Amino acid sequence: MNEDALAQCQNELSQEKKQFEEFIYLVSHDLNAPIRAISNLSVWIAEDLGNDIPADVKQHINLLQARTQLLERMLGAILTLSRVARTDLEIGYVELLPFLEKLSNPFRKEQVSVSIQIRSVVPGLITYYQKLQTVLSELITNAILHTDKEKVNIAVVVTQTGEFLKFEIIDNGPGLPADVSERIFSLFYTAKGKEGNQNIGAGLTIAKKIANFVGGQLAVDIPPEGLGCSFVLYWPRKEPEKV
Amino acid sequence: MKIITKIYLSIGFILLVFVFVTVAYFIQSNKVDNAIDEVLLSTEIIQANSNLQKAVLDAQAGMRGYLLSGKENYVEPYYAGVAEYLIELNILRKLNQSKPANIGYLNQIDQQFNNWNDSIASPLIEAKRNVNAGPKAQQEYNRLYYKTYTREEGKTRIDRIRYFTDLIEKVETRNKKALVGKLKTSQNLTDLLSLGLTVLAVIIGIATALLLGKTIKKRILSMQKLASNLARGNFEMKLTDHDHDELSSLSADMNVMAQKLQNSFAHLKKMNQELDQFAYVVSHDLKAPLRAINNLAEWIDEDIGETTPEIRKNLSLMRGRVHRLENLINGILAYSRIGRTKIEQNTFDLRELLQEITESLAPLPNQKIIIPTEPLQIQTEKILLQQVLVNLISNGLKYNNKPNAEVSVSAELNGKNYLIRVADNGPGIPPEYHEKIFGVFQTIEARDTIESTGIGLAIVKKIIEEKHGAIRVDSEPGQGTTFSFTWPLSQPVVLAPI
Repeated sequence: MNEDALAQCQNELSQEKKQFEEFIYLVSHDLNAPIRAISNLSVWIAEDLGNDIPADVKQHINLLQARTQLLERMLGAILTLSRVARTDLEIGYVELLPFLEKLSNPFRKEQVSVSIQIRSVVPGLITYYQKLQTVLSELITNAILHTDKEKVNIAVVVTQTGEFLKFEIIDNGPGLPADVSERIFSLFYTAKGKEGNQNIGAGLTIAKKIANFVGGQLAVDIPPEGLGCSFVLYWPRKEPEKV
Repeated sequence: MKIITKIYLSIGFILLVFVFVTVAYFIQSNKVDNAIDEVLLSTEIIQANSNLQKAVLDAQAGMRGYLLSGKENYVEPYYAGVAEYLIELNILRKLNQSKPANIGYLNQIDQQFNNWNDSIASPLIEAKRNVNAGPKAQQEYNRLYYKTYTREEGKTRIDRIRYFTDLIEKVETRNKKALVGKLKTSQNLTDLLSLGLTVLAVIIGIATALLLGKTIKKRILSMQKLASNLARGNFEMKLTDHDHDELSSLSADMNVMAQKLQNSFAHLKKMNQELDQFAYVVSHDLKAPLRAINNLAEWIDEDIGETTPEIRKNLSLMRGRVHRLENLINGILAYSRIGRTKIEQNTFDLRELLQEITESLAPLPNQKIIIPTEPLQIQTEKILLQQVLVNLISNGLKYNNKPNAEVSVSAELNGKNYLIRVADNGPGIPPEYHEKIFGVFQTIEARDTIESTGIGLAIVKKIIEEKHGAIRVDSEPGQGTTFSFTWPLSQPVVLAPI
């Protein structure tokens, strides 16, 4: 009976996993249709109303469209989360220094005050390079997003510990209170309200989910208040098996 | 040590003991055989020896009788005695082949006897026969007689013979006694040894059986306990085993399996919780912007005042979509909540519950809900059963395309389960949808045709599975649809700890 039970348990587990992915996918897909409809309808209503409408109506329509976009982005994030195990599964060699430089360049161009220092004692590895790129981009985005300084300084340091590469992404931002170090990884958690900014609180969730998917880890080191954040990403050195 | 080795060793030892006992008895019996032969030989020798002695005495007595009486018939015993002596001596020589000492004595005896016969008895008898032949013969006889009796030459020889025959008798009697004694001792020893070994073998056999049986039984019992614990979903137990045998590896395997089961189960539980938590968080977070959109749409509607029907229509369509989104999210929330909260059990009449449901659904005049006429007491979580029935009955009405829609509910107690059927006379469900309809957000018709979230049956299925029941659908297009589900008798819902 025991081997049966074990097999059944594992079977249930994999089914549960599949159901989970399917559920999220379905949820985001099915919710997407009415949101698209709302978005379209709001555009049509705005067009039909023309330009000479009261300012408060105009403002309400803008707000409504912003909220709709927020909803769409949230659903997009759920969809991305559900797809972590299915997308960007290409495996390739990553030469770390050029890879990190190339990854940092868009951020440097975008905001002049962003400076990203890269150091790596490891030449490269064979891995899911798109996934690694996504995680690191999310972490850099996160550092820039939460800065309170005029000039953003980010250091990306790659070292090697046992089976893993250790990526440290250190910023000069305001840092984090210790009690939120776990919560920042939950979906739709944002440090500030969702109203003002573009952030919906999904980037770190996705980054962590990817790290877990590849068999690594993502955590945040809480330094003393005001010293900035240091995210630590452990990424397996072992070449992933092709699915 | 392996159990099988223990068993082999103990059985091997017992067999060895019995082989030893058998061999001991075999040797002993051979010994007895030999000893009996020896004893018989000694007895025969003693007998023949005594015969020999008697023959010598007879010969002596015959000679004396003849010498005294001078009658010829008195000399007969002498001849018989001499003949007898020869026969017995022969027998004795044969019997004593293996006894050189006795042969030596016999030679002595023979020498003395021959000496006595040749130089004393025979000449005397001859002289006696001739005694009357003349004074010379008389003188000769007297000389011989004198020599024999006065100088006791005859007696000396006969005494010598006696001495040696007595010696043989003594030796053989002693030999016989010693043999019998030795035989008895060895017999006693063999008996004692065999008895002791047999008792030892029996003790070892019983001890092995008891000891092995007890330990094996104890360990098998603990394994059984582990297995039944596993079956009951308790994975905490571990087997401890300090022996190193077949059962130990089995124990180790079982421990590994329990560990694996525990891990898988923990993982499954975590996964389940994660799914529910996720659905909850997601739908919860989505509700805030939705509420804002609804409010904004309402404000825009109020603020624009006079406007074209087109805009009004679009606004109302938009609020319809918002409403639908809310319904979907509420559905997901409801779905994720199943099993997260403990629900009280109550006892109620199923018929009354169905009446309440009928009232709350407010069927149109052309819709009919048929409920059982007999009361049926049920003890269970009323809210859950109500949720299942409301979903099934409202589905039966909502999707019904007949002018006179009918949904009929029947219930019966079937062993440990209630068997409840909800049948409608609607359009029926094609077989390829029978599995799919229980998925989240699955509807057969396009969403726009009938306002439906498609989550109702998913909720129904999740509740029934949470109650360890089962649901099935029987339907063909145009034949109506029957949902049948089992609802176990008052068994509390197993709660996933939150």
